[in-house]
Amino acid sequence: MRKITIGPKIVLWLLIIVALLTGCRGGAPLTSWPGLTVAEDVVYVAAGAKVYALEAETGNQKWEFPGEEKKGPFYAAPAVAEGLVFIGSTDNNLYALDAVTGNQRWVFATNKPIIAGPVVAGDTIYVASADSKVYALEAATGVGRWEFTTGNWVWATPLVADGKVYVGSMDHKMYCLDAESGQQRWEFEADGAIAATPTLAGGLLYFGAYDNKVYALDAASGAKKWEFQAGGWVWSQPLVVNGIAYVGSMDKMVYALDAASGQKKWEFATDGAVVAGPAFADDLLYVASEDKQLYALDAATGQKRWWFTAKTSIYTPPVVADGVVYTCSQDGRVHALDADNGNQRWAFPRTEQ
Amino acid sequence: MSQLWNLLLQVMVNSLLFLYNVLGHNFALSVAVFTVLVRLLTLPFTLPAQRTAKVQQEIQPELEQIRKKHAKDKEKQTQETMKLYKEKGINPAMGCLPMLLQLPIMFAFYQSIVKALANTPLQMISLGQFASASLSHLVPLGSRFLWLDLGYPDPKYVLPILVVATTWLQQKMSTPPSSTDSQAASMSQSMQITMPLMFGFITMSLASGLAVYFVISNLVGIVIQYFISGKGSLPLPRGLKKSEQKDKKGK
Repeated sequence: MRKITIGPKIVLWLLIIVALLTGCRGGAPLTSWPGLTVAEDVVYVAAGAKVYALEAETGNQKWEFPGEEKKGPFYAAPAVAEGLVFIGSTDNNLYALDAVTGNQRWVFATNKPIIAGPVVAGDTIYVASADSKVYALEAATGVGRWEFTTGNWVWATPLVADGKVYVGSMDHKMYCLDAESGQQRWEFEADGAIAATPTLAGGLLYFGAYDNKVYALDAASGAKKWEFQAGGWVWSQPLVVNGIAYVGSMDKMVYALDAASGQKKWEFATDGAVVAGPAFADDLLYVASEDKQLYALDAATGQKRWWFTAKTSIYTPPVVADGVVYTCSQDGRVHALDADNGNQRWAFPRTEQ
Repeated sequence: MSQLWNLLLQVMVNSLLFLYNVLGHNFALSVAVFTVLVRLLTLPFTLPAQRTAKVQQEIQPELEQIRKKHAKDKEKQTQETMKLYKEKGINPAMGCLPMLLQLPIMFAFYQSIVKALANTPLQMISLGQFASASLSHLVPLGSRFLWLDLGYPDPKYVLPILVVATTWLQQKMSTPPSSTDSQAASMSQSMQITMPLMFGFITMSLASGLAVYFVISNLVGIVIQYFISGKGSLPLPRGLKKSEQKDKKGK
C-alpha cells in the first residue's frame, strides 16, 4: 500500500483550523459579565442568558427569565421600580418584567447591544445603547420620550440626579443632559473613551476613562476641578464617602483619593484588573477584582480585613444590604457573604456548574 | 512561557494600533500593511520550506522510479529516497519544521487582530491589558471599511469568497504536480478543494478584519510562491507540455 503524503502547507492549514475551532480567539470564554441588584429583599441577577430573582435571605429562586427562548446574554445590572424589573440585553432590547412573576410586560428595541444598566427616575427610565444613543422612556409602557445621540457606543450606565442625566460615551465625552427634554447642557472631552458610570457628590461629578485618569468636574458647568493619573484604564464607577473618592483601575489597584483635591490617600494592590466599582458599609470598602477575590478593606487605611475567593474572576460590582455583601463571579455564581467576616451564607446555584 | 506569549501579543497589538494611528485611522489598511510586514518578517521561516518543496517537485520522477524499483522492499525504498535527498541537499524536515515555527507568530497576529477589534466589554478588558497608555486614546478603533464592520462577519460574503479563491490559488501553486500515485493524487486534489472551502466557511462566522488578514496573507504568499516555483501545479497554457515548459525555462 502506498504511503499518502500530506504537504507541510496542508499541515499548517489543519493546525490553524484546529486552533480557530478550539477557541484560540483571544477573548475570554464567557460572553458577558453578570449584573447584580438587591431590592426589597430580592436579589436580581442577570448572568449569561438568564435573569434570576432570588430570595435575599436564603438564595432560593423565585423566578427566571426568559423561559426557553433566547433573549440575552445580559451585561447590565437590572433596575427595579414600581413593580417592574428592567434589564438591557445584548440582543439590543430593553425588557420590562413583572417583579413578582418575571413575566415580560414590554420590550423596547434599540439598534445595537445594550451594555449599560437602565436607570429609573420618577416615571421615566433611561437606557443607553451601543447604537450611540441615550433613550428616555415612559417606565410603565416603554413609550419613547426623547433620545440623544453621542458620537460612539454608550456602555456606561447613565447617572440621573437633580433633573440632569450624566452619561459618558466611547467618543471620549461626558455629557450632561436635561432629564426632561434630553437637551444637552454641557459636554467635557476626556483623553480616552468613557465606559465608567459617573458619581455625583458635593456638586462634583467623578468618573474614570480609558486614558488612565480619574476626573472630577463641576457638575453644574462641566469645568474640570482635578484629575488623577492611575496606571491603567479606569472603568470602575467611583464611590465617594466621607470626603474620599474610592476607585479601582485596570492597573490592579484600588485608590482612595481626597474627593476635593484628588490627592492620593492610600492605594491597595490586587492581583488583577479592578473593573467593578467598590461598595461601602460600616467603614469597610468591598472591592472585587479579576484575581477572583472580593476584598474587604478598612476604608480609612486600605488595610485588608478579610477576603473571599471565588472560582473565577469578578467584574461585577458588589452590593451590600442588611449586613450581607453580594457578589457574582464570572461563572455566574452569586455568593451571599457576611459583611463582617466574609463567611458565606449561601450561593446560587447551590452546586457549582 | 506565557509571559513571552503576552510580550509577543503586546508588541503586535501596539504595532497594529500604531499603524492605525499613522494610516488615517483605517483599520483594514493597518491590517493589510501589518500582514505584509509579518509575512516579510517570517520569510526566513517560510522560504526554506518553499525551496524544499520546489526541489521535491523537481525530483518527483526520480522518487517515482525508486518507488517502482523497490516496491516490494520498503526498507530499501526508504534508504534510496534518503540517499537521493542527501544528494540533492534537502532535508525533508525542512518542509514542515519552519512552517511550525511560524505558527506562534501567525496565532499571535490572529489574536492581536481580535483584541484590537474589541467590541464587547470582555474583549475590551483584554485589550486594556495590552494597549500602551500612549495609544489608548485610539480605542475603540473605527471598524467601518466600505460595507464592512471589521468586528463582524462580512454580510455580503465577498471576503469569504476571496478567502476561498486565494487559499485555493496559493495551495495550487505550492502543491507539486499530480504524481502517478492515484491515491496520493486524489487525496491531494480533495484537500485542495476542501481546505479552501473549510476556510471560507469559517470566515463566514469570523470578524471580517480577520478575513482581510487571510486574503492579504494569501496574496503575499501567492506572490512569494510565484517567485520561487512559478505557477506550481496550476494549469499550463494551452498546447504547452510540462517538458516543453521546462526546456523553455532551461534555455
